[in-house]
Amino acid sequence: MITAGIDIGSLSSKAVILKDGQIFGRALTPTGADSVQTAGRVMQEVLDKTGLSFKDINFIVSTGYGRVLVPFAQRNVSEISCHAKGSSWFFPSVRTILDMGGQDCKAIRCDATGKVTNFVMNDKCAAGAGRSMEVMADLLQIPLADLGRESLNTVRGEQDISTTCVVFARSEVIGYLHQGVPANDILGGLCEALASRVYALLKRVGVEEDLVISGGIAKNIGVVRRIEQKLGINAKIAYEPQIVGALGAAVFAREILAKIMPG
Amino acid sequence: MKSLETMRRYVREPQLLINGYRALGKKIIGYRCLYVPEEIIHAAGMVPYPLFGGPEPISLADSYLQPYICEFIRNVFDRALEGKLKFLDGLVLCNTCDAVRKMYDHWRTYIKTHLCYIINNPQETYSNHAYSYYYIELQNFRLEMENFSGQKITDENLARSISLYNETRSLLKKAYLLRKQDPAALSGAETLDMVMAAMIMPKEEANTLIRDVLKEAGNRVDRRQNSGPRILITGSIIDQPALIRLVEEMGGMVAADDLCTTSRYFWQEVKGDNPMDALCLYATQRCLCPCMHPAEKRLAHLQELIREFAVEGVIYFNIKYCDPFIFEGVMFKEVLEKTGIPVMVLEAGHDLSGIGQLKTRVQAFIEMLW
Repeated sequence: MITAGIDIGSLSSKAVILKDGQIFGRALTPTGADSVQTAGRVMQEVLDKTGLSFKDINFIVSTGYGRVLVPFAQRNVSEISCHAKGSSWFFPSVRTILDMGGQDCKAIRCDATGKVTNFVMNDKCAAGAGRSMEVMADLLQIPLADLGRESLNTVRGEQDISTTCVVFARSEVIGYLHQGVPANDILGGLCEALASRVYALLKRVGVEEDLVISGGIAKNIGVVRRIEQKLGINAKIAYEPQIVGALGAAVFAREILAKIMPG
Repeated sequence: MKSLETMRRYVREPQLLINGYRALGKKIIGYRCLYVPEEIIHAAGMVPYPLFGGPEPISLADSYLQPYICEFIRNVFDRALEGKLKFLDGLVLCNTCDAVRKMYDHWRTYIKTHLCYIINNPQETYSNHAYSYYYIELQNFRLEMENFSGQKITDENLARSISLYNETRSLLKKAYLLRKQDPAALSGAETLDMVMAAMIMPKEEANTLIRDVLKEAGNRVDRRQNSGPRILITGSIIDQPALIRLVEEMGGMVAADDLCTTSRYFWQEVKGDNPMDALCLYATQRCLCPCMHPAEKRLAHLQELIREFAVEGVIYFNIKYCDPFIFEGVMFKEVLEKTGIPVMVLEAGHDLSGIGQLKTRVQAFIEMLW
């Protein structure tokens, strides 16, 4: 049985192919202005990598912000359900998921089967999400991938960032740069601010171990360490945290197929 | 359904009704919120007209009010500034939330209707002194309405108005109860249209149409087959069916709702021999919003709806930024979830901007209940 999950996120799109219960292929590409086109592109990419063709895939589930814009998906499932399902596939002991994506952030609770039991999502605002980190990386001229590590090496300590809005925080950061505050201290403050916000979000659903962090920001060690410190627990992170949603969609596809296929 | 189509048309084109009122030479009195006794206005030969927001984005009101002020009130105020509420002869407000109370001052300063009145109803509704205070407040209101209309309000007229409005209430409740069945003869979005129409229509005509709705619903063949989770939506005002429709499109069954534009308008009837006493008593017995005390009474009502309509999950809808509901939502979510009913607090602007994220939340909530 071969199924696929496609996650059209606000910043990046992912595809996962699941074959006989194993991840057979995965792809990740930036989401363009045209979600339909992006969906086709990421799907083609994963097919090319696996040497499969469209007709080999038995069922496709889409998820993410652009989930209704995937013309070849048979079903769409919300990214909240998919992140729980995908996290549970990686770590069956998971009971709390923190998904930090490009545009929003979700704290999710689930049961032993990966079914959602409660969730909260941040407001319509990119603060505390991947987009804010991209903006700051660009402003501070530090590669996105190094941001977390650098934020842990502060010179004089974390610089407090008082605003939560990305646009205003950007002006605040420019002000600090002009005052000669080291970039690492500003990064430390940004990661701290982000960690505080998601900590409050997690508190609203309550944290039960194990905690899994998924989404692009799970790759930012500066944010992850600070969240772990606040909670006093260690988080589990998949080897590729950005594909958790797409994987969850592929698992849903497999479950749906198992239900509708005779025998 | 033809009757429903007619009612929906009035909601979309209220000007049809306004022209009718004008042709009869009636004064139209806008009001907010539900604690304003419509019967007193009606008994003075005038038309009580509840104010709703419009679909247009807020523009002029933004020069007066910051974006963190209740989006519903800003929308209504914007419509007034734009001249869209010029058909109103007067406005009656009451003592509910800060936004409504302060709109009174803004209205007097910037809109200048012939009449702008605020009823100082007590927010605590259960004590004897609240009752006697409210009685005097209503007497003053009655005098004010007599003066403004130039028509004496006799007890007989008031009793007649009460009985007309009670009929509307009881008919609306009958139609509302249709959703106890599954599949239901009326959807949540249709119920909202029906109630909103009844609120702005002449009650005689509304009553006839609701009777028709009840008749036609009985023989309805196009009722929606639904085995999705049964959901209760509670919140302040939903004056466009988009959110309810979204829940229904995502596979949820909006089995019940507790809103200023649905059940809070008609759940109880005004009862008692002396009409003024009956109106005072009604204020102590009716369904409350979170502006009023005690909160336990509201919670008990929600729990009764959850039981009666076999509700499986609650969507707690906050219009940005409705303080009373924001405070209450935190408590109610915790209390209801302890009884095994999942609650999702959903915050959105009056125009439901950012519907993409709303959709994700609603879909995930329904997937969770399924």
